[in-house]
Amino acid sequence: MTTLDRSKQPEILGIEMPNIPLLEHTTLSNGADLYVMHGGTQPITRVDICLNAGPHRAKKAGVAHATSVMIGEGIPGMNSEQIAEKIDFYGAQMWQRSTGAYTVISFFVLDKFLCDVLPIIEQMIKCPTFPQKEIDIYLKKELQQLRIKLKKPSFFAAHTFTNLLYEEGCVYGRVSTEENIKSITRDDIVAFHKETYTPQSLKIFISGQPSQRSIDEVTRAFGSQWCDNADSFTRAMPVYRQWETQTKIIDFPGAMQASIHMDKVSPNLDHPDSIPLNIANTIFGGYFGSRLMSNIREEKGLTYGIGSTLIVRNNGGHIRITSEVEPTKYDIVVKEIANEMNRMRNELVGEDELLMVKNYMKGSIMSKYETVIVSIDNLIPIILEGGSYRRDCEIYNMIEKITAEEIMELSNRYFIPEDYKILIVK
Amino acid sequence: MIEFQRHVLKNGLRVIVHQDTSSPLAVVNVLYKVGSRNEDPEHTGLAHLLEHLMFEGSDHIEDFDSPLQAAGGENNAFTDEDITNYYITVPAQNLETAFWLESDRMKCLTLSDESISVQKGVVIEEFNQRCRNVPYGDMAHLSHSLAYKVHPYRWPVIGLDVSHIADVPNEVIRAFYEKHYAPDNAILVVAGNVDPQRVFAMAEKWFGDIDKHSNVAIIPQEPVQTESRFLEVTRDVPSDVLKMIYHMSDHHSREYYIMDIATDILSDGTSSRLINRLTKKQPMMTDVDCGISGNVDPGLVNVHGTLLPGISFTDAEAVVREEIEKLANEGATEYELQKVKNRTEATRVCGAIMLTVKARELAFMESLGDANLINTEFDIYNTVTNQEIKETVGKLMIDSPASILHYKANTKA
Repeated sequence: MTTLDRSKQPEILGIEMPNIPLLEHTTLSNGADLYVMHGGTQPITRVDICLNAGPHRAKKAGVAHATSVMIGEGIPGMNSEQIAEKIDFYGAQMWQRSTGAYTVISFFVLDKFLCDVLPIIEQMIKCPTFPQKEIDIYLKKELQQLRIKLKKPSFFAAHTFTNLLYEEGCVYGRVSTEENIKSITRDDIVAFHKETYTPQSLKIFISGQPSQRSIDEVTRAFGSQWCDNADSFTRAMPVYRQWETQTKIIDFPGAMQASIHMDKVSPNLDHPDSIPLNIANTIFGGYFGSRLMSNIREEKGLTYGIGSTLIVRNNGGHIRITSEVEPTKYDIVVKEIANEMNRMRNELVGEDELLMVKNYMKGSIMSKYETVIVSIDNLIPIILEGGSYRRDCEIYNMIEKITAEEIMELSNRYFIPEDYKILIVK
Repeated sequence: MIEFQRHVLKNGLRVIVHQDTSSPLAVVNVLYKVGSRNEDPEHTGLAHLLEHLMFEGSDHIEDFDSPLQAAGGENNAFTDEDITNYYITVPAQNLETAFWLESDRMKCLTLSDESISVQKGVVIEEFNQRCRNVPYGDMAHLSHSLAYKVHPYRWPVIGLDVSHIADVPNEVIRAFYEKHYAPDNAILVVAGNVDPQRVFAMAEKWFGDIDKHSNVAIIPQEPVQTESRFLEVTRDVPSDVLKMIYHMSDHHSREYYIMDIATDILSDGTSSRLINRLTKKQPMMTDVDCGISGNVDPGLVNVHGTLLPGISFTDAEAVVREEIEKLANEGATEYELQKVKNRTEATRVCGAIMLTVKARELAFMESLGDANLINTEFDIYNTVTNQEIKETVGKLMIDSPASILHYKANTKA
């Protein structure tokens, strides 16, 4: 019997691109896009209704989100309590998300109950009643929750940074404030709903195991010209603020950690650098074994977590580095982040490390497609930004062929320390 | 129905395999029956610190993460009061890497002085991030020590204080590892595109020679609470928070299932009794929740609510008590019971979607004594009667003394 050799890793086999289920696309009679992706082993259907009703379209911060929540608080013949009762009764889960140009109203439910909840959601979108009482309750709650969040240094830092990155008045930099929440009125919400909850630029995603009946019902509910479309909306462009110094430091009395945020503009979704930068950023700070994590957490123990996120957009994407660190050592951390950037720029990634990251990323892609009603979460933002749902195939192909030289070249364009704006809250 | 096969190695390791050919992945979940309940009062936070150290290298494998990443895998873990749970997701063809890694760290975790020193720093930053640099960060510290006076549940999983983490001697950490990280104290679950017989053979190959036995000390049990308890604190937060805590039985008991349904009626979904009344109909709170801890030793029923400005603790408490009494006296309506059934069915279906969830649940149910609870639990829920709901809520939340915490804001708007 051979003795077990525990020092040797078992053989690793190659990792293929997983099968991405087909995203069937139809155009409805009102011009809306309907996407259907079948998959999974459980009788659940998920529906995501994407309206061109995001915060960039509103005149005030908070109105888009308020509208997306308030539509659920009253429809003709049903008040807030009755609506909640019905949705809960069928075991449906509903949530909403407002970001950039879009608001997405999502729900999932056992497919057998979809036709019971859909008419309610249809009316929420088409003819909500916006009861003043519910708006008052919502705004009070938002105010309290904002006050609590702003007591958290890491939230305060992210909030403040978003505002400071962009010129005054630019929608990308608009954040919620107490004054702003107090100024939101029912008229704001009604007007916003009227203008934006239309079939114009509407995209609907159905995923899971929808029956044909479910698909037909969704088509019936949202496929007609149920109201006039507004004037066409020109997508907002980011206008960046000039900073006099690279770094801003804000004191937060009582903070037990220093919050570090660093930011630089990233290439647009359709730029040739966008996909390979994904890989370079992963090595730099995009996974647990990254340069940043290895140095600042695993070697020095200065943080519980540090990462670099590549936010991919049609326009206005960015590279964001964040960490909450030992409060007296933030300057060391900033210096080490710069050191790691320069390492990416001046040293070729070693063969072993490159192979490891390639396999890790391939495995990650495989995990993303484990189940359709979860993988749709990754696909919707890309499609709303104008990208292809098969983007991960392009990423996989790039993973296969990218070289250490190309990564170094990219790093010299995107990981230059002086290019990053830095905010420290301590 | 989640099908699985079960096999026990000679050294006591329980191995469970759930085959799911719809996925190209495999998940390996190793659950150790050790949590903060196994700690000594002078060295709290140790189970969680050791969880961090489990990633710092074993005698044959210096670097845990890189070989896994090279195999296309990802991993994570969590520690709670009762268990420490590790899970690896990997393309199914590279399953054996997971066995190599998990078996080596069960058998011979290195625990070098250097790695201990670094991870102490990391865990202290985690403590800061979760408990000291956030509003309401000490809520768990206060509520646990109010409800429990003897049982180790009286301190939170992260530990009582950063000094416990900073000062714990290395030998104490190593001894804790030896006592608890043994095959007879562990459950290994593999779920995904795998062949059960091949997995059992792989388990024998990699874990079969681990000749260690656990040595779990007896845990002091909490005496019955006979008096009401009250604590008021003031903190630099913008809103008052009310907590009402009651004792209940453990996860093995029928009481667990009855109270799970009862607390769902009280606070699962916007239409639930507490949420509807306190945040919508008669707004007194921005949010309210009522849940059960589900511990392996007798646990808690927790009511937690953030008060709106101008609302007194007395008034808020009175409304909560009124709703509890209503449920105890009148029980649930037929509609509510059907709603709970529908929601339970939805939960069951959702629980069968992701491999990591299935693997974790199988391991957890096995740790309770029977992996098949993953299937039969739902039948237990369906047998709970309205009479049982009334009696149990009455017994635990009216006839028994509560622990009340008033977490007061010092900066009210």
